[in-house]
Order: sequence, then C-alpha cells, then structure tokens
Amino acid sequence: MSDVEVEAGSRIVGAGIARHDAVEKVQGQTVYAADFALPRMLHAMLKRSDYAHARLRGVDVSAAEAIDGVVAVYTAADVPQNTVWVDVPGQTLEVGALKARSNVLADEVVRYHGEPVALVAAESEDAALAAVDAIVVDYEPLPVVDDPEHALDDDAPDLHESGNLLAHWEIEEGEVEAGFAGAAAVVEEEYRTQFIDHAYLEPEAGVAWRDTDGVITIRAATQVVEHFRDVARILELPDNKVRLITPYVGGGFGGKEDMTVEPYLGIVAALTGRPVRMVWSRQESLTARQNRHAVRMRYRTGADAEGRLVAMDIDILSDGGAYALLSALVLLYSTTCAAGPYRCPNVRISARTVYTNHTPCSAMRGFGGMQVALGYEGQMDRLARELGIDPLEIRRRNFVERGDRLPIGQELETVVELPALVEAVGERAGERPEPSGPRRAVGRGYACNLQSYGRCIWLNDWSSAWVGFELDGTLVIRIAVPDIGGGQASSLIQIASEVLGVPPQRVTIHIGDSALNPLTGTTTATRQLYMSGNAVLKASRELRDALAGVAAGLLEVDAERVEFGPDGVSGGGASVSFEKLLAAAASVDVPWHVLATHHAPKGIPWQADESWRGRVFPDFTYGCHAVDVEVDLDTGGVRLLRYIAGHDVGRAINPVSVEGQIEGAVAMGLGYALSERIVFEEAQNLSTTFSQYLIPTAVEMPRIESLVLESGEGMGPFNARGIGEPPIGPPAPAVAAAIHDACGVALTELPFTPERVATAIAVAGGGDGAG
Amino acid sequence: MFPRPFDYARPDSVDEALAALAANPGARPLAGGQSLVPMMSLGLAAPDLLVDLARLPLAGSENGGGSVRLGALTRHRELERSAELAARAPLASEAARFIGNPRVRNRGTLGGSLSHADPASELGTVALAYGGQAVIAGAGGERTVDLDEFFAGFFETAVGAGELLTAVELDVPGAGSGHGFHEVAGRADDFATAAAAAVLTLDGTGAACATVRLALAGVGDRPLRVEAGEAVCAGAAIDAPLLGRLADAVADAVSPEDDAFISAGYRKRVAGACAARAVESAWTRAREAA
Repeated sequence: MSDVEVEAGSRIVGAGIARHDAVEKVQGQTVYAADFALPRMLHAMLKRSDYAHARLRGVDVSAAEAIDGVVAVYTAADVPQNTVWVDVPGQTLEVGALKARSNVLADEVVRYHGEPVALVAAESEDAALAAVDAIVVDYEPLPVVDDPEHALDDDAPDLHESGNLLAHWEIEEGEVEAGFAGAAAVVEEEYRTQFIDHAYLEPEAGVAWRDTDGVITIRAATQVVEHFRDVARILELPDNKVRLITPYVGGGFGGKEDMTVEPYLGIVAALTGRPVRMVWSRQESLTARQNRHAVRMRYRTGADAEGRLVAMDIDILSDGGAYALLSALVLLYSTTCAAGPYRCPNVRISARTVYTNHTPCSAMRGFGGMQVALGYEGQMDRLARELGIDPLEIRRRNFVERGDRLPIGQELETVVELPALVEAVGERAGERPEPSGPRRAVGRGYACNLQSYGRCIWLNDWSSAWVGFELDGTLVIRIAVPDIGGGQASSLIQIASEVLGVPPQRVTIHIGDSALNPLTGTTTATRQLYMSGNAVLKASRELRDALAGVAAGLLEVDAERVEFGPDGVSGGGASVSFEKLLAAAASVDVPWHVLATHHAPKGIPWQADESWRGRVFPDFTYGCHAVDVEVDLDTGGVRLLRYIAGHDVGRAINPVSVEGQIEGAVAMGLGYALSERIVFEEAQNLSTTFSQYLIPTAVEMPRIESLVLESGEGMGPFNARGIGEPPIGPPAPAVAAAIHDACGVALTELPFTPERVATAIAVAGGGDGAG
Repeated sequence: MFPRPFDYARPDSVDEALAALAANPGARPLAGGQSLVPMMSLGLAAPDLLVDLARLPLAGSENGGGSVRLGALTRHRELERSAELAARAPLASEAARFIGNPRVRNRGTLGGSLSHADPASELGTVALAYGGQAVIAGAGGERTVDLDEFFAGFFETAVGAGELLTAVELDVPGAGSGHGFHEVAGRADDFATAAAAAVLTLDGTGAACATVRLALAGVGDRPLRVEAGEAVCAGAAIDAPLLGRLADAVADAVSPEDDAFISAGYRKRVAGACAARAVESAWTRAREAA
C-alpha cells in the first residue's frame, strides 16, 4: 500500500500517487504466476517442432513414458477438442467468415518452428525435461513458405485448406487517379517492418488444479481471463467448470492476449486430476510465441503545391505466420490507420495478410496501427522535402479535425489536438545539439500518429465492476481486470476514491478472477482504463447516490449537499461516520454495494463486404514526438540523444502512470526502430536468446520527456483517453526522419541497424556532405 | 534453458584441479562461468564434471620490470576498477569496460575469457596488443606460451587437455607509448561486431610512431593481430590520411564470415574504423605522455 497521504478534500484523480502494488513489487513479494506452488504439483513441458513445415509421420512417446517420474505424455489425439477457434470478425477466409483455427498440439502437420507437438507432465522438472528429450518425432520435411509475396504465387504450397490468403481489406474513397493527376508532387516508396517479440520481463507461466465441484482452476499470466471459455471448449467442459485467475502479470503487450500456457495446464489438471505448473523458458518464449507482424507497405502519396494531400494509394502485405490468430483484426487496424491522422479526399487502401511458415503473428502493442506510421510519416517527410515545406508545417496543413471521416468511414467525434501537440513539442525541442566529434552528424526527426483505444465497435464491448463498503468504512472493488503492469488496478482505486471519498490506502481491489469477480473484458486494445474505469466510475456514482439519500436523512440536508470524506459523510455542519451510515442504509434496505456495467458505444454492425463503411473504434489518441540522434558516419551507429513525446490523454487519472506508459512505449518503439528483430532462415528462428534479440538497455535509452496535454475530451472516465498503445507508433518514423536530417539517407526498412545505416551512407557517398 | 545434469568438484589447489581434469575427459574447468554456464543452458556444452576453480589462489597481480603478471582468476571488474592496474596496463582497464555488463564483469575472469577464446573477446585483443606470455599448468608442471601463439583457432587455445591457464604476463611498454581501444556492438552488452586494441610506441624523435601492435576481435575465427595494419603505421606520423589507409588495410586484411545478423562486408568496414580510432587514441595518448 502506498504511503502517500492524501488530504481530505483533495482530488485523487489527477494525483500522481504511487500505485498500491508498487512496494510489494520492488520488494520482490508479489506472487507472480510462476511463483505459485501447490502440494503434489506436477511439472509440464512441451515438445516443440524442430521443423518449420513437416508432416508428422509419427510421434513415439514410449521412451518418454518409461522415464521414472513421468506421469503423462499427451499428443493431439489425447486432447478432448484439439482445435482452438479464435473468433475474429474480419474478412478472414479461414473456415467461413468469422473464425480462425489453430491446434492445441500439432496434428499431422507442423507449420512453424517451435509448434507444440506433445505435452509432458512429470513429478519433477528434470523428469519432464528428460521426457521431452526422449520423445521421438518422425518428420517428413515439407517445402517452407517464408516469403509473403511468394505465398500468394500459384506454385506456393498451400499451408491451409483455404489457401494462403488469410484476410484482406479493400477501401477506395474518392477518385484516386484523378487526385494524382492533379498533384503538384507525388512521392512513392516501399517500407518494410520486421518481426519483433514482446520481450516482457515475465515469461509465460501458470499453475492449474482441479478445485471443488470439479472446477478446473488455472492461475496464469494472461491478459484475458475470458480464456476460461476457450479452455472449457478444449476440455469439452461447460464454461462454468473452468475458472481463470490472473495474478499481477509481469508485462503483456499483447503477447498474453492469445492463450499461452492455459490450454496445457487445463489438459494436465483435467486429465491427471493433479495440480500442475508450466513455465516457459525465455528461449521457448522467443522461439515459438506469436510475434508482431512483419509488413511490406507501398505508399504513393500526392499533394498540391501547398502540401495539401490530394491522393494516397496504399498497398499493405503482412506476414501472418502459420496460423490465423488475430491477424485479420490486426490488419483492420493497419487499414484504419493507414492514411495517418491526415485528411485526404482520394484514398485507396489494399491490405492483405497471408500465411507463411513463420511463427504465427498476432497482437502486440499498437496492433497493426503502428507499423503503418513508418509509411504515412515517411511519406509526409518525403513530400515536405519534395515541396520545400517544413516537416511540421506540412503536417499542420493536413491534420484531421473533429467531424472528419477516416477512409474507412469513421467520423472523429472528439477534438484532435495535434496542432497544439506539434506546437508544444517543437517548442520544447529547442536548439539542436552539436556533434560530439568528427565523422559524427546530428539530426532531428518528428512523427505524429493516431491510435485507437477500445475494442472494435461491433464486438459490443462491455465492462462490469462491483464497488462496495465494508462496515469499518473501507472500500472494496471487485473486478476481473488483469493488471499487466500498467496500473490497471490502481487507476480504478483512484476513480472509486475520487467519487466515494475513501482514501486510496483504504481501498482494496480484488482483480483477475473469472469466477469471483465481475467480468470486465480483456486487458488489450488500450481498453481497461476506458472500459473498466467507466464501469467503476458508474458503480461508484450509483453507490454514492444511494448512500447520499440515506445520509441526507441522517444529516437533515438535501442529498446533493452530502459530502463524502475519508471517514464518513458530512453536510449542513454535521457529520456521520461510515459505520453509522452503513447501519442506517441496512435498516432501509439500501445495499452497501453496487454492480454496474458500462457499455461501449454502438455503430453499424460490421458485414463481410468490401463496401462496408462505418465506425470501427470508440475513439483515438493522438501524439507528436521528436527525437535527436547522432549518427556515426563510419560505423552507422545511431546514438539517441534526446526524446520528446507529446500526447493528448484527455485527462490524466494518474500522471505518473501516464508518463510510465509513454516512456515504456517509447523505449519499446526505439528498440523496434534500431535493434530488435527476429531473424529467420528458411523459417527457422535464429534469434532465440537475448544475446541475439537485442532489446535496448538503459545505456541506449535517451532521456524521454513526456508532454502530457489534457484536452478534457475522451471517452474514458473523467474524459480520459487511452495511452497504453498510442506512444509506440511515432518512434520508428521519428528516428528515420532524424537519421535523414543528420546524414541525408532515407531508410525504409526496420530496424535501422548500424549496418543498414552505414550501407546507406556509403551508397550516398560516405556522408561527407552531412550537416 | 536447462543444463543437462553434471557432477561438480571444487578443489583447493591447482594440483587437485589438474588431477580432476586429467581424470575425466568430459570435465571442464569453471571460472566465472559467464560463457560456459550459458552454453550449458543452451545445450551447446554438456560437461560431465565441472571443476570449480573458485578456491584456487590464482587472483591478483604482480609487477615485473616491463611486464604485469595477472592471475587467471582476476575478474574483469578488477581490471576495470583497480587504479593500480589502470596505471600499469591501462588498455586492459579500458577494454574490460566493454565486456558484457556489470553482472558479467563481476564474475567473469581473465583466464576464463582467454581460455574460452571467443573470437569477439575484448581481452583477447588486449593480450595480443600488449604481447607477453601465457602461463599454463599441467601434470608435468608449468610451461609458458607466447601470447602471439596462444589463440589456436575457433574457440581453441594452446591450453591442452588436462591443463589450466594460471596467469598471463603482459609486456607493458614504458614512457613514450600509448594505448587505444574501440568497439562497435549492436547494443551496450552485445558481442562486438568488431573491436580493436592498439599499443603504440613513439620513435626517438617523438614525432612518429616506431611500432604499433594492433589486435582485432570479432572479425575472424579468433582474436588476431593485424600486421598489415601495423605496417601502415610503423615509422609514420599518424594523421587523417594515414588513418584512412590504415582502415582500408585492416578491412582488406581481415576475413570475417557472413552470419544471419551481420554481413562480412560490414564487419570489415567496422574493423577498419575501429582500428583507425584505436590507433588514433594510442597516438594521441603517446604524444600527450611524451
């Protein structure tokens, strides 16, 4: 519990108080998923495929089963329902329109390196490891598809019955060719982004057991407690016989949005009746868990002589990897955001995602909305150079405004503060630094973006929360929110505290339990503050209203004049303790708690039809970033000197958490810009340790300055906007612009490794003329 | 990420350690464990027996006339932080700062690093740029090997089966000399894309370089001296055009291989840049000291 004292009457919302879970975390006392144990617990491990594409001629588990301490070895045939269906609204071609299929354990064919083939449960980790080694898999290697362009060729082997085109979106608004015909400048470029890993601190882990009444209970690191339903289907159990508990999670970033350990834990617990733990090693996590989509984007953008956009033609091809997972939705985000926060009357967007034998791609912070920032911002910088207009000025001339429609048909309902953000960031950036020595060049880059918060409208998203008093005047919040380290739970405490007067130290929140807490939806899509925050706000206000009515009678004042304070209610010069108020409430049948549900706004239901246009998301968050870099002209090394990140967050519920989200996303985005990449060779993952997969360290990170603008407009509680994902978009294009500013080379393929930078400088003539 | 089962011994003397190593062909000595243990976790090494050298009296340093003797168990952190070593063997101090991260440097040892012989080893370049002797103990007693002959190939050294590297004697130059080190890596604690170490001695006039010993890491099957680069500098005053020729000569002389992350061509280019910067630093320091 935080030691921060908050004076009575001060506002809690807007205060940068320490999170209630902070002290336990820094003291190492938080019981994360892997830290939990039960008596007689088994240890589960997976046998994973050595091949990226092969037919399984046989899986011989006899030697593994014979090992002392091995309790069970399961293959696909042992899984009650081996097929996992991800319900993905989108123009998917996989098995009808709406479902994406993958397997719990590989059946007949493995389609990526590291795909689970068999599941082992043993009395010890050593026995489980020995059993995994002892499983003999007879592979018949099949041709590998590792190039998304080639995946669509006639001679490419089909990885799934439906072919290799997983999903597509097509949009055409206005008269695109006529728009280009009237353009004063047209720039055309191809951009490429890489596969990356979520690289959270906490690898995938959990413990499961069969609890009272046969309820399979799984305590696991996940962003989605609603996966209890998926596990129930796999186990062929009723939904209400599986319970998912998520303790505080050591990072998600979308990597724990799809299931990881949950099905395997459920299978062992259900089939053996024993408690079981599964912890993936970092190597497993880096090898075989879903990645961010690598995307190839072709942009053609036209503007008039003043730099106003007149036409865009955008072609997006994303590598979805071996199974569909959430690729269709990720592609929808790319499609929605492809034109950026800019107004353009004539836009064509063609977006496809295809199957390959790469690790399946799925959710990751930014969710398809961030890759395209490299494209749309790169185009703005190219147009600015072509037309001789300042890069911030050309953006200013094109920003969308409230009331505008994005190409997909969504109208922007809240204020777009990009002009103010550009102004503030430009002003803060000030003078450019000097190079540190000869053969070094300094440059500055800017990038803006938009990123949605909240799930797709047609998913009819809702969030429930229970808020109630205890007799001693403490407050309890019950809500199944998974807290993945972003302060999801502590923000809810602040909201309830704000409304009900109880100081944050006297609020306890019970989170992440699908059976005992009201379901509130996934910790994904930058939706928890927005959705759960609104649910807690609604419950708190309803509770306050109900109790204020009782208090009004005790205090002999109007209900509107009742004040809620740390110890009770007051009004008209009198005060009553919570204890007395609650007793009085009970006597007149007013409950001490409220269960409330917040529903997201509605829109036109989505249809599997290319002419569909409408509202996709509740709303967007906008940002403008600036970065200063120094480029080593001999080695191509890029040193980050300074970073400024401005966002309109509507209202900062906890400014420290807001800054934490901005700084974290920027650091992640800078790793994406400069060093992180999953390297495949013939679809074999070669970057399976952190000595090959280079996440930046504190040494590489510059000072990150957050500029938080509060417009007072947003769809979250107290008009907050979501900030979890949005700041990850601008870093890569901002760094690209800064490198160009430093040494005149325009990089288009992420990451901008020293080798790529040096090669571009050499091609351009050695950087001698750099300024 | 799980080592296979192994036995473990922690002898109290060099002789006991040598006996344990000689008795078991599957035994491997364990010093700081910063390379061996990760390799075991990754399944790249599976020794039957680890002979932990922690109790052996092989840490510490002594000054000779023109040399410094460093015990094999001298930790990187000691090289990095000891003011005395920084004064006597400043190249070792400077290079040590580029090894891994503080956690690695707190445990990793000089002897472990040299015996492991990673081609990207910073301390390998230090040993070659100073020159001197490796002291190797075996069943028949101690022998010495010229450091120029120490690295024998890809992760191979002059240390034979059943032997241990116990100390290194570095030849440290006196007045009128300077050192330089430069490394390029994908990230602060990443393996070097290339690294260069130089020890430069001025001629009698102080206006030109008499000799340079120049060693590179990351660009071959082992840490290596690049004599073609040394020849460019010998007898010359170091200036920008010479450094350009030096970079080209080094790039031409080394023959790294392509890997999935970095091309051979880029490593050659970086090797040249590192060599030029290391020699430039050594020249500047030598002139300032003169």
